[in-house]
Amino acid sequence: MTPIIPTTVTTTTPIVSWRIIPLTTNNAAMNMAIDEAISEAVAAGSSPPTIRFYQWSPSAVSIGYFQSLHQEVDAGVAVSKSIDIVRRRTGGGAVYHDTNGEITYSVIAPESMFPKDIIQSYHVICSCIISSLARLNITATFHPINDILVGGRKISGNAQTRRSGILLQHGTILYDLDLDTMFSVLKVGQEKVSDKLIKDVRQRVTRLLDHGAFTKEDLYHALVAGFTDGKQWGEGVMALQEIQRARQLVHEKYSTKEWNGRR
Amino acid sequence: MERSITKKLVNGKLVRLFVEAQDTVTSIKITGDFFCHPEEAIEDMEKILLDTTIPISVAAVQQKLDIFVAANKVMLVGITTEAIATMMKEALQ
Repeated sequence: MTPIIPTTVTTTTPIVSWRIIPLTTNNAAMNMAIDEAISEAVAAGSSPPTIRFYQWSPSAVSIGYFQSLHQEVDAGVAVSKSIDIVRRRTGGGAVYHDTNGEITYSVIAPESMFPKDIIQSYHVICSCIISSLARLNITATFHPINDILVGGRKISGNAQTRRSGILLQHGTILYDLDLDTMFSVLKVGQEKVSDKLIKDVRQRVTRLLDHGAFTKEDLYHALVAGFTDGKQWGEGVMALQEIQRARQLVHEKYSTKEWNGRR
Repeated sequence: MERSITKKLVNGKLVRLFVEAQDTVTSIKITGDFFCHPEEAIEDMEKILLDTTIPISVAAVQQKLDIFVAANKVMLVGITTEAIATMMKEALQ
């Protein structure tokens, strides 16, 4: 069969090249500051749309923009266990980010590249995670508003904000689960943490390790493949200006009581 | 005295509302794992709800919030103006 070779190419959408920033490990304040610094740079047109992958060290709790710190986190336990606390600029719930238990991603790009409808845009980005898990022979589904389930259990939570024409969505993919530490630092309700509660959570949440003898590297490589599939992209690093701005945001915002305790 | 109410909304998110009132609402905080774009709009909505007369009219409070949401193109996800108004009333009953 003769291949069809187009003589002219017309397109209405400019080809966008994504910057992929490989897995880095930072503390909680720096992780959130980097997201904001990159968002500002993309908004200013000085940086391309970006996808980054990262981990949290020390382990940390991030709370949603609208959550009450006092209601969600036992700050005393967090201090005693050297667990960072940070408020996100996105809504959603409190998340325990174990250094070894998950990989977090951020997608930062002009809003115009995504559906205007919030749920649809969650679906578009979450499809990258679903595709990543499919590469590990795991069948996952999008569960509106912002979750991804495997076998009816949550494996990924996601949160999004849109500011200055830029969409930022970040989320975690659970690799392992340290329920004892998670329950000690998160306030999960008035009742004492019981065996039943732990069992309930185990029945609602799943982790990659429940589905095979995967390494964290397996998950990371699957995520890079899933997020870059069909995109023009190149591996990149943060610009010096972004790094400087992130450091400033750590100092002025994400490490301050005013921000983290504002609600 | 501050009163609070917590609800997991049907097809929505967990909302925890803290409210203080005498003849009118003197303080209110809307917290939870919902989404609101832009995020700062929730603080504007809290300001709008200050001085609301007791007893609460759910319809009047909802209308006040709906006008603000429409005028400022606020997008609420996992929470509704009706839920906020209803929870305010229930917290103060």
